[in-house]
Amino acid sequence: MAIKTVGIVGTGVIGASWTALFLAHGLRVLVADPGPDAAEKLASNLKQIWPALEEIGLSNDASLQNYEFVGASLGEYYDKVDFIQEVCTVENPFIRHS
Amino acid sequence: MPLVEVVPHPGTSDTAIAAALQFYNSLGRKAIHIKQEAPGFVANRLQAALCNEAYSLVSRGIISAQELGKSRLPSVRISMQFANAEYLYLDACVTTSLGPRWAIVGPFMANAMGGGGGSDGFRHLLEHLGPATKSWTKDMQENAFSWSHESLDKLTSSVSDELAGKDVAALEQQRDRQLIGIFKMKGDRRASVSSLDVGQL
Repeated sequence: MAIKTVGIVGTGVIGASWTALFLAHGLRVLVADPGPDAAEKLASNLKQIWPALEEIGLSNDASLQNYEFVGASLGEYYDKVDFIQEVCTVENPFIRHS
Repeated sequence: MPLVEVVPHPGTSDTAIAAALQFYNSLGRKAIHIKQEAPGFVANRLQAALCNEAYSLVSRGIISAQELGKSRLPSVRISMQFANAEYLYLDACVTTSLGPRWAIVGPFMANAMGGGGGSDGFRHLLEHLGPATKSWTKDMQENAFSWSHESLDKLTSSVSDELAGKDVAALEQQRDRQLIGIFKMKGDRRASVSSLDVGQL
């Protein structure tokens, strides 16, 4: 199965870096993080990282806009993603493995 | 950073492991299958080993965290010719030796080359330098950095003093630009550089 949409849980510095990398490769990304101002911080981090990825070389279909911040949890979107990456510590109480 | 450590648990299927490796490799990552989980995985453990010794050396006063060029010895001020980011003596010991070498060959290949190359090089180096290394290791273990509040305060304040007034954000940008240059030179076209430290994942 081709992976076209990635779900990310955790949008700190590392989560933002992975989001940017997936976007640079033309993937769609759904992002969740329960932290305060997570969406704004993510947008700001992505903007900062993007020029470096441009310099390295973007896929033809790469777009910095091809992501959606879905809120505190990815729970409602499991059927929309082909691959999930958790970018938080395993002790994070917001991750529920079912 | 290109490295991705793929660490399955005992119940993970081979198919899932292969899919993860393939996915990350398709993104220009260097996905490496770690066969058995160990705390910190691999890159973090290697980093911790080196950093612990660095903390120990500075805490023991064997090397200063002092800024290059601040030395009272005039001849030492010449060391300002180092690149901007190499403010600290201890850091410079890495960035001007092991760092660049390890960006090209890892410790095993470096050992094999150091032992004269060829299939016997690695064994030759270990037999030749092993005994000395053993005594260094013993000394390192006996003087390992102790993680007490006091030792931590002392270490962090000496580093903070040196970084006061420095534009660390600008140094970060310089680091990223130079890392991109290294990856491009190595032909890792897709290597991503950001504040991401692989070891932290």
